[in-house]
Amino acid sequence: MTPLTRRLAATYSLTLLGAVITPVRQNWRPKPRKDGFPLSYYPMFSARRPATTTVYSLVGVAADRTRVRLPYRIAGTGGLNQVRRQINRCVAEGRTKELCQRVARELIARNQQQRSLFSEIVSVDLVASKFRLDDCFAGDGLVGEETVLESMTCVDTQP
Amino acid sequence: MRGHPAVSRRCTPALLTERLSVWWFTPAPAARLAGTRITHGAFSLWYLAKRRSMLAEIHRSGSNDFAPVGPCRILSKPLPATVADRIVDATLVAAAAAATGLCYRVTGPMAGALLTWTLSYRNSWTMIFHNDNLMVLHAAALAAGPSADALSVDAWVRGCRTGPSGADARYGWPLQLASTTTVTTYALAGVAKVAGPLGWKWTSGESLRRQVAVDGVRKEAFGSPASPLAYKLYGNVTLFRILALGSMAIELLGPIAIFDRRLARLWALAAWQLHWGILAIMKIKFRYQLSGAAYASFMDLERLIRR
Repeated sequence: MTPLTRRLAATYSLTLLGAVITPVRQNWRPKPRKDGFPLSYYPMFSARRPATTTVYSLVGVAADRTRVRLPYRIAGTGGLNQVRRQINRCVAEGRTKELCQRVARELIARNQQQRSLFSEIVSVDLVASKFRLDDCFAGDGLVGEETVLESMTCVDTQP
Repeated sequence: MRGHPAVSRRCTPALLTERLSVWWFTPAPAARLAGTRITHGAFSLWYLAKRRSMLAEIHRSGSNDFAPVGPCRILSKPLPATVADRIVDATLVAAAAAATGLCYRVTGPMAGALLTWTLSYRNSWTMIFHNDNLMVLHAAALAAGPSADALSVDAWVRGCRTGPSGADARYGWPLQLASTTTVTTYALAGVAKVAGPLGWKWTSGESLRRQVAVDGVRKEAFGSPASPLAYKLYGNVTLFRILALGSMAIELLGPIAIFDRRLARLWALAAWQLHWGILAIMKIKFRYQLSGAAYASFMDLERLIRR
């Protein structure tokens, strides 16, 4: 390599590494901190987790009042955590009715296409479930307190 | 540093710079860099091709969920879905060309730029997936060097399939850059834990145990079962302390291990196993890392060709 090409390579390397390292500053900024892509400060698993956690999720209710947890794919695409965050955002922004309407429409569409495992569902609840982690992992299954935030009937208006 | 002649001079900044420069420009065979290019390109191609339908669905999501990151911050609203779809297709074509080393001087940087855009756009819907970052950063490292001087269409056209004989610094520095970028991202994750609310107490394992539990509960709440191993291991606080210490060591010691080639390879093996452990206990897939492609730059891939 010529001295010039070495210098160019060194400059490029330092620039890229500098860009990769720069987001580390976020650790010392006041909240809310900004994570980015592809340059990130990689905050995964670093949060303090209390003994309880609240999850916003969707529950389908059958005519006989049986309740079944709906998979995330009913509410959106892109993976469970992406859909979960989108649901959280809907709750934070007060768009719960819009969310339940969208999910109800999706269930109706799947029923019409006869590709639904949830043909018995007559309504959709958006719930906030508070779970005590020790109880959930003590072998009792998902044990928590559920609060219904929004409810929407799945009405098929097509003949 | 190992492999370099002992020097009895005092450790001045100038000496340190010189030694770093010698290390950074360690010669490597063209086939080693080419092997890394092929591994990265093949993975990128597979990863995007498999997700083409999912990406098309995401492109049709509502604008309420749009939270642009990276270069996509220039957008005030989502692109028309068909435009976003065509960009994905262009990325696939460029990735294929880069992987095969066709007109690499153009397709390499083009594939890197398109991959950066496509994955930034994918991560612009309220959730950032930290398993995609390294793929983009490695594309930037590989595209800057002569990664298609061997084992490429370009080399075949030139009549020198395996590239120039011997080792050269111009093939070594992109590999150093890719490897250093890798260890840096892990170190940043370690710093985030130590700089976080728990500080070094993160290594007690309690936070990790609760993180595993929270992730499992979230999965179950959406009708997707948590890992059976999470339930089996949850009560074992000592094990989680060991796992926390181990993962912190891997994250923070990478920038030290990188200076010795054998230690760096051991580190890469440990990091790869870390991700298989995360998959087993949390069912979280860091696909680029799990495949091993993320650590290709640490390996003497040219030995596979010699066989």
